[in-house]
Amino acid sequence: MSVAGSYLQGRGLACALGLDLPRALARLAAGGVRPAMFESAPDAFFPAFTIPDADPDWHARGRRLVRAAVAECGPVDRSAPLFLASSSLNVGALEQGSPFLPDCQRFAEDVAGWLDWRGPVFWVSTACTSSIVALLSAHRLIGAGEADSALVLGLELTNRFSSAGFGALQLLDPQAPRPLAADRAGLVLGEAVAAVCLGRKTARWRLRGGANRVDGSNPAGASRHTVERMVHAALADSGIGAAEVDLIKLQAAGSPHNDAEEIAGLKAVFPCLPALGTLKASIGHTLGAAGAAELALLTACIDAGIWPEPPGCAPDPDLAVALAPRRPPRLRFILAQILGFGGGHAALVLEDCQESLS
Amino acid sequence: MKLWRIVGRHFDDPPPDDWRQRLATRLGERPRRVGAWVELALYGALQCLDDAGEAGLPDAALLSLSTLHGPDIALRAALAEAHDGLPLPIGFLTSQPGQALPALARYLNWHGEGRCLSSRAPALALQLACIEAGPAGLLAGWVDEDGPGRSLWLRLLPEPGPAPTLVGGVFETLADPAVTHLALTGAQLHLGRSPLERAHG
Repeated sequence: MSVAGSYLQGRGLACALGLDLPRALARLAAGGVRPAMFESAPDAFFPAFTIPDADPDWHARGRRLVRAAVAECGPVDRSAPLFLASSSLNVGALEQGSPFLPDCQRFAEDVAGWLDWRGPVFWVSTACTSSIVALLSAHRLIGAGEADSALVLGLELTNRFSSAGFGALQLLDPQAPRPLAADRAGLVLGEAVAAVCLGRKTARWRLRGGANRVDGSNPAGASRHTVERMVHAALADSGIGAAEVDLIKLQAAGSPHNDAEEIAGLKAVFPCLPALGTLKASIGHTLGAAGAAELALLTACIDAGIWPEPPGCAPDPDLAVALAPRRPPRLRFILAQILGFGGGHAALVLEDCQESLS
Repeated sequence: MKLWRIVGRHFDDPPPDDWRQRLATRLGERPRRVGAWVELALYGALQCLDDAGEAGLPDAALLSLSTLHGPDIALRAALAEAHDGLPLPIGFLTSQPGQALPALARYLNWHGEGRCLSSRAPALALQLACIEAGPAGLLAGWVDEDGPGRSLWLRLLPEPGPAPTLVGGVFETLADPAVTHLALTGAQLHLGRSPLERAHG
């Protein structure tokens, strides 16, 4: 159990809603954005949420977005560990003709170079759970006294290959994200650059703990039994009981199979489900960046008193659940989970220390 | 400084020419829907567990797979395929590093915490895993396909007993079967040789 926790020292985000969190929140409060059609392959189009930055140069755009997201975090110790969480890395640059780098770590080191980073650099690649896995590692390094702070950088930028690959697997919704809806048809991918700095210094948001479990039974999807085991482990690691969770930030990407498995697994843990929320309809599924991007956006929404309005889709009667239409009256403990591709099942438990004091 | 006992090791570098055949023999089948990089990871991980005398990896153990290149060869092939249309699903799957974990979970009969990551210094990935692992220990691997390939693995358990004399060492020294214990400060390895036993003997 790792109850001592680490604290959210800073956060920055560029996503389809805006180039930084203030602009993203303003856009969300005004009704959000719709995905645009993206050409994944000749004559193959899928919707996608893209960051509003039209620079066609992949490297120049990526460097600018990364620097801006980290700057939005506020002061960070550049000798601390840096975790780059990404599933597509620099594939978009390769598609533009950039040469292959000598190895994968080189791109992570290039990103560290954009930031004048001097600390150890890790690239974490566990598909959709990459950022959560990185955040857990950062949290434990701090908890073990091996680091005073650490930066997790979730990075998922435009590339045709990810979209084409998920399209080939028939995992993409051809229209729009419809989490938990009766007619949901798959994921809608999104871009994000998210920076989350964890550290020892007391702050409003505390990371209490979490868990990560791999299931080999379905390399492309979630399993209800593993969801159940993973959530039990996350709660135990955080030193809280299921009844104390006030909100579950779901994966709920709109996948017919995964949404059903996620809800079934949660119902096995929570006799009475707490409020449910999702951000996939607002920014899409940002793959390896999702854990950090959704943590940054969710905590910023709560800080600002903004609640992401659920999409107006007819709910699936078989799931018998609904997304919370407004902010729950009490929000002390939040379970934030990401599931799916690569058999990954991972969650963090966040505590609003301001709510705890009140 | 936390002390670890090496209870299983597979450090053949490079692997034997017939490693794929040996893997198929060990499993009783060729692994399905995985690429060569994942097969190489499976080969080393199973050899390591065999060395530890374990039929599977306990669910409470941490699995850390470290790589510098990942499934780079499969990625290049899938990118070329995707140039003119949607890639084949199997091509896309085998190009994703994260797909190694469900394969390892399936063949190691394990449902635990795992990650695939890269770091320039191999000992850094080991240090991170040692910080995060609990009483069931960890299985750590370093797998790359480039050149002759390599699939190096260690099975570690916390050592509650007295520490042998530890001296500074480099990552490659872990291949020495006489090295029975390790500890880390940062990326600095400290290695110990037990005078009484071979680690898993």
